[in-house]
Amino acid sequence: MKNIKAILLSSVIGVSVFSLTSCTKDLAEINKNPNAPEIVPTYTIFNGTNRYLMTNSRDGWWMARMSLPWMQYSAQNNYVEEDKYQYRDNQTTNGWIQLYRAANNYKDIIEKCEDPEFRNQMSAYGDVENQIAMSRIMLAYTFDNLVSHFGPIPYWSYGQKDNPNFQALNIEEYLNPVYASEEEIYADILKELKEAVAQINVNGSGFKDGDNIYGGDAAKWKKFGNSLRLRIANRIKHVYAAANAEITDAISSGVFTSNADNAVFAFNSTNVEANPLWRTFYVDNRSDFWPSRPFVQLLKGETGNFGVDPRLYKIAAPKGLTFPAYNAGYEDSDDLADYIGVPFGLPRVESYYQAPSNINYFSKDILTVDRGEVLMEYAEVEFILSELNSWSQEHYENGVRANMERVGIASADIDAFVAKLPPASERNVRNQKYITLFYNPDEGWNEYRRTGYPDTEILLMPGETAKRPHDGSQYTFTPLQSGNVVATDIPARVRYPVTQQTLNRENWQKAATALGADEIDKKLWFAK
Amino acid sequence: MKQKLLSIIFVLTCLVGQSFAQDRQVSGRVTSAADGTPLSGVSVVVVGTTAAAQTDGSGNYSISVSDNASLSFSYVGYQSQRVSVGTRAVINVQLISDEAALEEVVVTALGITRDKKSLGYAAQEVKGDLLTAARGDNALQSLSGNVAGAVVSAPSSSLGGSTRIVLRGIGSLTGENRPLLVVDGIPMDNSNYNSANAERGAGGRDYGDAGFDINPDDIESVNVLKGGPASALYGARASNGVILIKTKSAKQGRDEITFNTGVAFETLGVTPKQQKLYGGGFESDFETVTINGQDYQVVDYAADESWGPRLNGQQVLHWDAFDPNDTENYLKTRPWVAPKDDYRTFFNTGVSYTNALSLAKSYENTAARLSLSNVSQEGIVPNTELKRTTVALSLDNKFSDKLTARGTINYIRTNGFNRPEQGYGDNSIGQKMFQWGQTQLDYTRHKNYKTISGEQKPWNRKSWDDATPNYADNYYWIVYENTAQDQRDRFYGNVELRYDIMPGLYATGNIYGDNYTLKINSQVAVGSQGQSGFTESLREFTEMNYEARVHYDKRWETVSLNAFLGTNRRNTTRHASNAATAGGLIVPNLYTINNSAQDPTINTNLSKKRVNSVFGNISAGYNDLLYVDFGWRNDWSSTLPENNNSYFYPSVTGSFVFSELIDASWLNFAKFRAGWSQVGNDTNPFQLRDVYLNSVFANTTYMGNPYFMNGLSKLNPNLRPETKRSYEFGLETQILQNRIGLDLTYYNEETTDLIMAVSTGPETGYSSKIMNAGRAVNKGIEAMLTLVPVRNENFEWVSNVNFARNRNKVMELAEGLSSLNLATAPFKATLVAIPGQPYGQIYGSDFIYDDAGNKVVGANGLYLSSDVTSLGSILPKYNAGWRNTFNYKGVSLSALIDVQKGGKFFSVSHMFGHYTGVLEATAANDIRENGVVVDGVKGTVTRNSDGTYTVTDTEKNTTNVDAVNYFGHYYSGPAAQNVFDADYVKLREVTLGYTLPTAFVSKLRVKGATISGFARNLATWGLANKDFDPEMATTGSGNTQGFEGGNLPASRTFGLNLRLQF
Repeated sequence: MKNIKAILLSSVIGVSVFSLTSCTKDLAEINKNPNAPEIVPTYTIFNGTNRYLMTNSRDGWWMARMSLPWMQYSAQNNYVEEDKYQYRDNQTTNGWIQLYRAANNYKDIIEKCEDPEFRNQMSAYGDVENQIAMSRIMLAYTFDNLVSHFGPIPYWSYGQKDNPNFQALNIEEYLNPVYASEEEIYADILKELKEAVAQINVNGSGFKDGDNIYGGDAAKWKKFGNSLRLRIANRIKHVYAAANAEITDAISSGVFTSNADNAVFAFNSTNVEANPLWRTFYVDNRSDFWPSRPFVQLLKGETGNFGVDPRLYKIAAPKGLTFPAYNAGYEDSDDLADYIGVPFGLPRVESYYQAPSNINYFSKDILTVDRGEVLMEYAEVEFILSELNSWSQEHYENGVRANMERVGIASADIDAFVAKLPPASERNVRNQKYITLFYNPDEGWNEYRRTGYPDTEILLMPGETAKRPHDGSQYTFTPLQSGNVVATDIPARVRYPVTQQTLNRENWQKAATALGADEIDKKLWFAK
Repeated sequence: MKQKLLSIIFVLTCLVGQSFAQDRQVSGRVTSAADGTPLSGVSVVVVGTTAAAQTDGSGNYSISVSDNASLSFSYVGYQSQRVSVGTRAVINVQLISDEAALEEVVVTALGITRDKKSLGYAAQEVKGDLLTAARGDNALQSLSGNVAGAVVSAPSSSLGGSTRIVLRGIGSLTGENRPLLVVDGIPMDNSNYNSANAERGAGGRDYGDAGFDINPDDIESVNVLKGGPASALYGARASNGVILIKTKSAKQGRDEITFNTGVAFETLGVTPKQQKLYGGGFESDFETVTINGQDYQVVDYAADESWGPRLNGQQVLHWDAFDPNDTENYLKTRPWVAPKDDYRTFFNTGVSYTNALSLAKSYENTAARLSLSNVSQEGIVPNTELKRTTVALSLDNKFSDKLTARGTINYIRTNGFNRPEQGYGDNSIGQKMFQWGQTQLDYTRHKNYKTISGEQKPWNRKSWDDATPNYADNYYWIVYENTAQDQRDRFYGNVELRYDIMPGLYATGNIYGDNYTLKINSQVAVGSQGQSGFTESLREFTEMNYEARVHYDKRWETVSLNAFLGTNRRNTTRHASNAATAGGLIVPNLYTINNSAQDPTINTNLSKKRVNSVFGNISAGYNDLLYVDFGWRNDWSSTLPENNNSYFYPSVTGSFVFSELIDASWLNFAKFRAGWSQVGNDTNPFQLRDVYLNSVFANTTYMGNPYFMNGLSKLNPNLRPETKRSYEFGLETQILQNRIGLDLTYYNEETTDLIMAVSTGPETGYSSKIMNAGRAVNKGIEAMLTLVPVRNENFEWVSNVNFARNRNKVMELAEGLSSLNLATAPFKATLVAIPGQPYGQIYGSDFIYDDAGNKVVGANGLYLSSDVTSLGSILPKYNAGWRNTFNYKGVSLSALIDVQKGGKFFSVSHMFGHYTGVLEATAANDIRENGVVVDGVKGTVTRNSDGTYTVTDTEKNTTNVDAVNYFGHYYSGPAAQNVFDADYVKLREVTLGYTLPTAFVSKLRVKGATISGFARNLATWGLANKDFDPEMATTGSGNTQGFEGGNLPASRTFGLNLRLQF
């Protein structure tokens, strides 16, 4: 009897063991992520990726601690070593992550548009060919930013998926992608832009929602693709013979013709959607960045030969303001002595320049919560056209006028300034372009490395002396050791992220060897 | 097929049962071995039959037996005993209480008690008394130095902060490495919810881990199952070993009321030394400012560095001289001198009070214990507090001869108020004090931190006429205005039903539950350096285990058999929600999400996991001489792909008590043991299929439209279970009347197919990929030596030595991967795993050396940096503990020395503390006056393509560098400058106790009274960097270790305790 009971009990347990372990279907169901979707509309990815790219590439790190100060648009009053090229490893490490992540998401949009399983669904969010083309243009923009900062980099291309040198963004196949050469990357970026533009159906729709650059206007994307191609081809034309044909082709296909064509990424007026530089000041409370003296001197007409530029007031606030006073609002000053700029590259932090009321805040136009960030503007196209047409006066004036109109200078002031402009010449055109590229300092840095402008009359070069404006005393701008280099010129590039030395060591070593060393003084291909 | 096999085994197991005939009477008396009192209600069973009897009120019994029968005597709270009847007619038995029996019987996996001598693996027991002697508030922390092979990392001053324990090294490169915590059979969640930034020293509060909830006063014993063979039955989660905690319960025949009260004081321990010659600022002179027509020398309080003017008593306006409402200080100059009250005055003496009461009583068929405890602790940082209240009830009831039930329920509330932020964060005292700051600051003056209208008076103001905080808030503003609070409510408990089907065969059903809710709020006040705001986060955790087992125990003349078969279902649910204000607070001092200036941000996350298991074990013993165990388990986990989610794993252990064969009076006991196991492991939920995220930014839309992005980690639908294989050998011996005891273990553990997020270069499109990758091996020895040099009626001296040495090696990573990034310290240095090297290499740039070993400097006279390379592993070479206990009559003195040798840490505080001119060296040896010529050579450095360097044309460096550049280079130069050995020797515990004579206390109607004094972390020796205790180089119990950065100074604790028994 007792044994029967035991057998019975054990059978019951045996059966329950069976039932318990046979429900693997339940198990799979339990492991389905209830927090996030496996497929989403492509426009939402485009929306998120553009936001991510523009928020991270125009913030207090990637922009405000590298190209913005190095091109002497800004100067720090405390962390002067960063202006003197001793930047933090984190900012390039993070920039590398952010730019590649953005690129991978653009690639994902393309893949979802091409995947037969999803193509039909995604066509509801815009012409799929246009979606692909716009993603290719943004990929070109993203990779251009990477290659112009670092030099040879791992690369991926929609049009050359099988190119053995293009191994980036393909984690299933390449955990350690090789670095492609700059020449091959630039050639492909131009090819991509050409093909993307050709792919655009201007009568079809772009992304129906979430395009915060052009609101889905396919025709404008086409112009942007051409203008970007013009910018890049022009940059490499002296080292890349095929560039001239690309330039001609891009222009004939249609580049920007007015400020209405500008590629400007929109920000919003809440903290989370705000302009990243505004966030640095008002959310992170880091007021380390100020208009720098060389730039202010140029705008005041103390250097260069343009006289007082009305954009001065759009860029800098008058001195004498504490932070609360600045926030309360201020009037522009008609006394130019109220615009001095922080001396660039001081030997050490100096108390006088630590006091906000002794120096100039960036203007309220710059520190505006929803100020858009310029990917490329019409004025730049005009300056390029001036360069391509033997320093054409007309294009030069168009460029100056366009930028001034865009930033909201009164038309009378524009007319007066343009009327007094010194005639177009390489120096004048390039210096005006430098002022315009304040709104796009990465390209300002590219231009310096390509052309050497602005020259040393405007910029303070390593080893040169400058005067402190408040007491007239002299100091010498001495860059600090960055990596193992004490630079004698504005940095030619930035070092690869230190993480590459452990994560992709062999390929990093090859790239470093090809450059000579992974240091900031090694000139990039387009700057040779 | 597998299932079928299992049920066949099962049915066979159940069929092994026979009946015996009974033919004659045996009688006797059962008494307690401790005091000889008769025990009534003792169950007397003829082994192998259903025949049973009970003792009467005088402890007498009578039962009919056959020849060669054995009797089994069992009683709640006592150890069961078997007696062979032989030809005897009268058999009197003394039962040993469980407590007294603990030396021989240990709790093993699944709560099964076993004779210690039968175990084929290492298990080390620590008595509850030992853990509570020095009144550590965290039972796990108190294991440090007491258990061979347990590496315990627990920062001393972090107010209930996390405790990391690792047994036998790092097996999982990125996953869990801490042992499973089991309390009375209940697997306890020991998660900590610190942010990744908190863990890597980039700022955050340490809210501790859930193991803190266990009341040390309830612990009867802790048994540490160190390796795979011991813990395999628990399955995957126990692959890092198990810490089995048995709580106290009522003992039959002994009603007991215990009251415990104690007070402890915590003060600063190892602290950094700051320079006292120069004050804050960047220039050697003061700025002169005209205020109200008068010229003043004004300090550069916008600077948060200490490269300012020499402290020569100059009359200057300090930071608190600009508030017109503060007439006492307004425009009053004070001398520029080293502070009378330096940063040490900021810290308090932390006081903690512990009170615990327990009531235990047993009845004929029922035993119950209720315990209450409360700990109330103030930290060394002002305005910080931690409280823990626990209630525990355990019940044990015998409903009939066959049916027994037990249950425990525990409720714990933990309230933290303003646990200090550590690391490189806005509210981190350590960062603001030791990495940045001005050395002349008088900390008493900071107490005056608010204006009459409630605005902050920051020392680090933007300028004399702008009181906006520049980088740092006033220290008191930080601790009084930017606070955080947390509350954890936790219930855990179990219910067990046991049914004795027939002698030797019984079934149990168990439900184990663990549930808690953790709520964390934090606030930043309007007027702080950072944006004002309020965040609220909620974490809910529930784990339920449903377990059923059938046991069969039988003993023949020389052979014994214990077998069981069981099944378990585990359901785990985690839910998290976070809400935060955005854009600042609308109204100051109102801390609620609704006070958000802009749309608040909210996100929630739910995760579920289920593991189904069947398991079984067969143990056989022969003549107390040989024991063999075979165990197995099969799990089905929801976290693995359907075709890979079932995994089976076995274990085999054995022991050979060879002292049974040796007849030598000096040899009391000797055993050789060996064990082998394989354990499978699953992973976290949702690692298989990629999803899109809209949590990249704080809100889920952009410009009115939804957004999504791919995650940074590539998931993997083809995962396989991980496997850990272990084997171990051990030798246990007791000689010379147990005066010398030695327990030695060698182990080797290999983990393969580790599931982990393998870090990848972001150029792949992802920063990591989830994959089965990697193999790691840990091997080592554990040794425990017990010596009793003196033992007589009045005096006993016991000396225990624990020693463990683990060798870890990462054997391989995924194909094509040469390294794995584990974590990045703020600013510099990463923690990586490299094949062929021990886990946890600190990677950063080293010096460049010439062939003669000289450091190479550049043209500017500062050290050059190499490519990134290994600067050493964070893992210690060995850990050891040495405890000496002296008992003289009622007095007991015990001291524990805890030693760690080897391992490195990277110090962010060392780096920035020099960069900013705060630490002592920056003003020592007239370096600020004369500069320094660094010891090194100049030369031509040629970088070879493999990353090495050739240095030629060397000559001795003669370039003088000024102090600012020299110390600035601690940050911009080689990372190796900030890497140190983590060695230490600590006087971890000293306790002195006095048990009052019974004759005396009985007059007070007290059964026993013990008064004791204790101290923890009393002294520290052997630090490579005298400023920072390497034990503070961690915030959290995760895998990110070895980064010191803005941590609080270490502390030491003293106290008194009184224990009364009624």
